[in-house]
Amino acid sequence: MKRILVVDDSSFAYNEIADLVPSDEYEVIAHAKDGEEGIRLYEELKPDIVTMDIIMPGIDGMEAAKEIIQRDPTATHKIIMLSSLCDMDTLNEVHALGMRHLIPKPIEKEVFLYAITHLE
Amino acid sequence: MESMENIVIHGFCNVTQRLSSIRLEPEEGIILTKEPVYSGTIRLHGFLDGEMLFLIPEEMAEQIVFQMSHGRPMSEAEWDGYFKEYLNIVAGCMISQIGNFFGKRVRFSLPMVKKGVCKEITENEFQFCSRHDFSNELGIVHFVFRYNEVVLEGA
Repeated sequence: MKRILVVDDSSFAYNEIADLVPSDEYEVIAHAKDGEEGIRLYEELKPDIVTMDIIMPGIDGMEAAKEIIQRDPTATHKIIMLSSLCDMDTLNEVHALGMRHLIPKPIEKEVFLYAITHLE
Repeated sequence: MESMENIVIHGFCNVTQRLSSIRLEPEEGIILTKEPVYSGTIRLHGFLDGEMLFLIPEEMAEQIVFQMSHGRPMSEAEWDGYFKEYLNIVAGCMISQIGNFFGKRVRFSLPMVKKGVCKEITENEFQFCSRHDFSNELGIVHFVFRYNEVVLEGA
């Protein structure tokens, strides 16, 4: 069972992801509401997958992702960036950090399921 | 070639429908609604310095959140979070396309939401201002997009 940490200030995103993933293969284990909590819960829970919103109060998702990757370089294969902001600049920044996926909101189920099964 | 008008209409109507199944039709020549609304303001910064202002009738806002949550019971705080996320996603979609259209970076704040009756939309110092109206059986939505273009020396 793969364990997912959702980092997003919105409960909508958390509930949506929990509804999207097949429950026999994935478990949403926690919901962090800002980047700082996301970093802390990543260290504490060591999830298999992290979905990371970008625009959040406090530390934004890009900064949180950078911090997590600095502490754990394998995290580039665990973090999926999720955002309503999906311009080329943001996409380039995601790739420059070594992550593979930036998924636009509203989330499309097929796109999300593809991403969580193609993280490497 | 995409125009700002198309970006706004596509962003607003298509994203609203995808999130809530609520259809909106663009309208012209509509006077400011006197119905109680939720107003959402999102500040822009970067290449564009400005704001997006959403005026959404209460009943429509409630229906949007109801659809997004699949009717899940929720607290006031959770409702507020869902509505702000709706505004965030609509704005983000438009801003992404604007950024790609100009090839420059635009960033935005978290939405600020208030509730009440809108007396007027005040004039301000922005260079560019456009208003777009939409409607369906639940009421009239006003969307105002106003900004200054930021030109940096040497850019």
